[in-house]
Amino acid sequence: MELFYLVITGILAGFVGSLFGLGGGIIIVPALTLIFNVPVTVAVGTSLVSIVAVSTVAAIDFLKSGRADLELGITLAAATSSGAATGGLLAEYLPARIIYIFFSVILIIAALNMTRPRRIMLIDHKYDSASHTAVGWGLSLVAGNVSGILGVGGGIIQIPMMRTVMKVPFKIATATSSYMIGITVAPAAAIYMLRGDIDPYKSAAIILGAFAGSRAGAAMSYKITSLLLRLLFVIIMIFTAYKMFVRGL
Amino acid sequence: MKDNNTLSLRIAQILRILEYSALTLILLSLGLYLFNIDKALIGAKAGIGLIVFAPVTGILATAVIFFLNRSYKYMTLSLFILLIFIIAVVVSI
Repeated sequence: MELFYLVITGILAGFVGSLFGLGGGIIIVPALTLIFNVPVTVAVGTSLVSIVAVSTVAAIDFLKSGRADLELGITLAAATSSGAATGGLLAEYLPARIIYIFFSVILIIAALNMTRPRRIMLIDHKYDSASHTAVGWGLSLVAGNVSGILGVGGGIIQIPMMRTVMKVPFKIATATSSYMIGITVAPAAAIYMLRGDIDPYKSAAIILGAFAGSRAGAAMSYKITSLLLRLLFVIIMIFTAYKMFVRGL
Repeated sequence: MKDNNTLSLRIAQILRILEYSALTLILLSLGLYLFNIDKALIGAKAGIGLIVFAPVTGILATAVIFFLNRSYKYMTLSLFILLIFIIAVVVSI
């Protein structure tokens, strides 16, 4: 029965991850630790593998649509993958309570980010190439590091950074971020996998759900604009952040 | 630079093949697990391995495509990412 609930968790994570460009880790790590009582490092490792799966599916759809900027994606992925690999190695030495508290902070940031009006985010301007690449590269290194430690995709840092610092239009930023997430977390996922911090059956069940959920999310990403849905998700995120923070104390 | 859409489609095709291979392995392993067959663990690990290493194939494909289009800067960046992956694996073994 547990496998069934894990598949449902995967579907939810994949759907929401693709829909809001978050990568799914925001749901998988709290669900595994708070509901399934999995140790946080195993939850992070399992989440990273699931993120690679979700990102691969989303990347296919975004690549086919031609919205992803491959040159920008590869440039930033060089930084994010370095950061994620470092984060993955560093996570082994971090106490679990630090990871819980750090995760709750990231959840709050993601929730606040989601409260920004969507109509402003959808305004696109003429785009030739990204600006302030060096600053973007440095911030991508930090985003990658967060991914490696917390098992999140990094989109919550990457997309706003691309939009505000690098002046990349929202649609291109989302597509490029989705393309990059898999490349970003793959080195960290390999580290967790080789260290034994991945539960094969739990991961398999979540991946199975995530495959299906992310396909649905990518297909509906431009159809769902409900403010109510976003607000509901923000409330859930804040509540989850509180639970994670309490677990870390 | 060749049409960006053509490059994207090529990478997408490679990733799709890997996606379905991994999904098949995972489905098989979960099916075996439900019937308490020991081989399920091997299938699950292989499926997960395929997923973790799928982006490597994507990066390699990207590097080759950039090379064919004489975009050496981006080819080097692709190879740099590949190097990070190799270092991460070597350090963890």
